[in-house]
Amino acid sequence: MSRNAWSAALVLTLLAATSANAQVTKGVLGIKGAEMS
Amino acid sequence: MAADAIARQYDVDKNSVNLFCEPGKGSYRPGTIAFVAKKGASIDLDKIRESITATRLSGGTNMSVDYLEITATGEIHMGAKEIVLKMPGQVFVLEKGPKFDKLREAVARGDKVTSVTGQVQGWNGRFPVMLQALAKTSGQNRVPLQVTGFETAKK
Repeated sequence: MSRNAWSAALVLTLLAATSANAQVTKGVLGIKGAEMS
Repeated sequence: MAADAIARQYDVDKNSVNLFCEPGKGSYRPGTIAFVAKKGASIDLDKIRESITATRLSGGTNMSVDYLEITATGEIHMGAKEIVLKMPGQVFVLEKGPKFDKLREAVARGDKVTSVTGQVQGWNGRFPVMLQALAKTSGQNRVPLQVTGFETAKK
């Protein structure tokens, strides 16, 4: 594998690791008119 | 409507969606819709906006949003001018909120911050007006988040 290919593979691996770790895990929407929702 | 729209999202655990309405008889009573991501998934706020827009909440209603508070995990970066939480394809720019100063202190002394909770800018106002405004900023990869809480890894 060429150096460029290794670099590309490394970048993809790092991106995958970031994606797995970086997440919006929960949310709360505060509303007015909840009785109608 | 809004709760159903959120529950329809692929990345939201539909069993987690919990609508709470404060007791009383008046119209437009305050309440909350809480939701949790499916295991291993990340909630896409833009998809939630699109889903709510597809309901009649994008039309004539006086129902309104007070806030959208999210909890996110990710990598915190502290620069000279700002602290950001990096997500795939998006960056939350952490801003002044009740816990912002404490968070900045924790990051500065090298604590490992594992999650940040905060209110997403733009998610407030009457539904139709808010949805229209959010649609204009859709796809923006820098989203301000007012910090209301955070957690650090135990040492």
